[in-house]
Amino acid sequence: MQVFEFMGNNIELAEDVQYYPPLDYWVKLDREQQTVTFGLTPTGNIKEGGYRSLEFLVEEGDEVSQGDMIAVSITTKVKYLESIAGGKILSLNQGLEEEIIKLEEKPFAECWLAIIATNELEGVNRMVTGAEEYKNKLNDFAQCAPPPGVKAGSPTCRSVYAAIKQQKES
Amino acid sequence: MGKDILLKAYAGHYTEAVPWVPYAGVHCGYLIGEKADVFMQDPELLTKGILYTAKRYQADGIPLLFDLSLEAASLGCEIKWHPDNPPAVVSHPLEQQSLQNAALRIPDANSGRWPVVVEAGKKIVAEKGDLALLGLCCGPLTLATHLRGVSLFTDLVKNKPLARGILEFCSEVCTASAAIYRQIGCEVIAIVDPVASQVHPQTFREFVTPYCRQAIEFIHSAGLTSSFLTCGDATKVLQDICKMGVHSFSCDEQVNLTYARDLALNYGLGFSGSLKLTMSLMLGIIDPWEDALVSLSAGGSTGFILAPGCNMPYNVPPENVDKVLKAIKWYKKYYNPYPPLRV
Repeated sequence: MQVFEFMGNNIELAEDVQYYPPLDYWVKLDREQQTVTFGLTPTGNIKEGGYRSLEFLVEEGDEVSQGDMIAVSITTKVKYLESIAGGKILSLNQGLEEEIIKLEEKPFAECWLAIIATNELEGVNRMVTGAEEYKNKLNDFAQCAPPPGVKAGSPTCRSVYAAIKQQKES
Repeated sequence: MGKDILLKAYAGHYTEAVPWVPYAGVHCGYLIGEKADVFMQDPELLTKGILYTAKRYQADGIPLLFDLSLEAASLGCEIKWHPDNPPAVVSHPLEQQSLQNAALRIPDANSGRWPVVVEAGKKIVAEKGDLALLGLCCGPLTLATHLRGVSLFTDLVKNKPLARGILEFCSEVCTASAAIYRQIGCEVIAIVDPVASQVHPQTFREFVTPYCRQAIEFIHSAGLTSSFLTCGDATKVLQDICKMGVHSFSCDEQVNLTYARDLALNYGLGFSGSLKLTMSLMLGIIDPWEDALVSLSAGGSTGFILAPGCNMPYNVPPENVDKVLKAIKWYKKYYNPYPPLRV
C-alpha cells in the first residue's frame, strides 16, 4: 500500500492494482478470464472536488468501445466517465448510483465501476502504470493546485456549477 | 494598439503587437468599490466600472458583461445573487415540464435584465473610443443546463430527442442575444459555453456544434467578429471548436497554449489565453509577469490575443494585473517583431 498525503488528505493507494492517470482510474486485469475491472481512485475523487452522484449510461450486456461514455457524475463540474477498454459489459456496480459516498470509504474494495470482457488487455496494459508512478504524477498535479480552501477558477463557472451541484444535492 | 489590431488578431492574422483583453466581468465592480450584485443591476455602475477597467488595464477590448444567467433569468429562471460572483440559476423550468407546456418565449431587449445591459452597452459604445466591446451570449448547452437542470446530462445520451428540442430552442435564444449585442454596437460577439468543455467529443459534435451554427451565421452576416469561449480542460474538443466556423476561440489555462496555437494556425483562426486565474492573477503564487510572458511566448504574434483563461475573480489585486501590463510592454520591446508563424 502506498501511503502519502495528497492535497491535505491522507491517501492509501493499493498496490495490487494498476492505474490509468488520465482518467484517475484503478485497473485490474484478469488474463485468465480476459476481463478488465476498473474504478475511481480516491485521489481522482479529491481532484474532482468529490463525486456527488453517479448514473450509468449503459447497461450490462452492452458492447462498448474504448473511450465510450459509460456513466455521468456530478462533481464540482460534470464528468462523463469513459470505458477504459472495448468489449462487453459483464457487470456494472449499480450500488454506486445509490451510495457514491462509499468511494470515500472503500474505493478499491467496493467501488469498482465496471467489469468488461475484452480482447484489448494488452492495449490496456500498455496504458496503465504502477502505484509509485501514479503517485509521482499526483505530486506534480498537487504542486500546481491552489492551496486548500481557496476559491479557485472563474466566478462565472463557479456560478454555473454551483447551481448544478445544489440541484443534485437537493 | 486598440480595436483594429484586436479585430485583426481575432481574424487570425499577424499583428505587430499582441492585443490584450481582460475578461474582467465582476472584477470591474470590485475596481470601483461595488459588490457584484449591485454592480450588475445598475446601468450607470456597469458603464462606470467597464470604462474604468478598460482604461486602468489599457485594454484593447473588454466584455460588456460576463454573466451566463442573463438569458436564463429572462426566460423565467430564478437566480441567486452573490456579492462576489455572477448570479447562479436556482430553478429550472424544464425540470418537470416539457418545452411546450412551459411556453417559454425567445427573449428580446425588453426581457428580464436585458434593458440594464442595453442601456449600459449603449453608453459604453458612445464613450469607449478605440476599444472593442465584446458581447457574450450564453452558449446553447449551458443554457439548456439552466433550463432543464442536471437531467440534461443523461438526456444527452439516453433521451436525445428531448435534448435536441431544448437545444433547438436554446440556439434561437443564443441568436436573439447576438442580435441584441449587435443592436448595442458590440464589435465582437462570443458564444460562452463552459459546459461544452465537459462533454465527450461525440456529444460536442452532436449537441454543441449544430446549435451554435445559427448564431455564428447571424454574427458573420452582420459583419461582426465571432468567438467561442469555454472553460476547463477543453483539449479533447478543441479541434471540434476549430471546425465550428467561428473566427476565434478562447483557451482556459488547463489547455496547452502551444497546442491551441498550432490548431489556430492550422485553421486560420484567432485565439486567446491563457493567464492563470487563481495561482497567478488572484494569488500571485506564480508571478503574473512570468505567467504573461509564458503565454505571450507560446501564443506568438499570429492571431493571438493575451487574455485570462476565463472570467477574472472578483477581487483580483490590481497590482497583479499591473505586472501583466509590464510583461506586455517588456515583450513588445524585446521580442517584437516575433516572426509570423506559418504551418
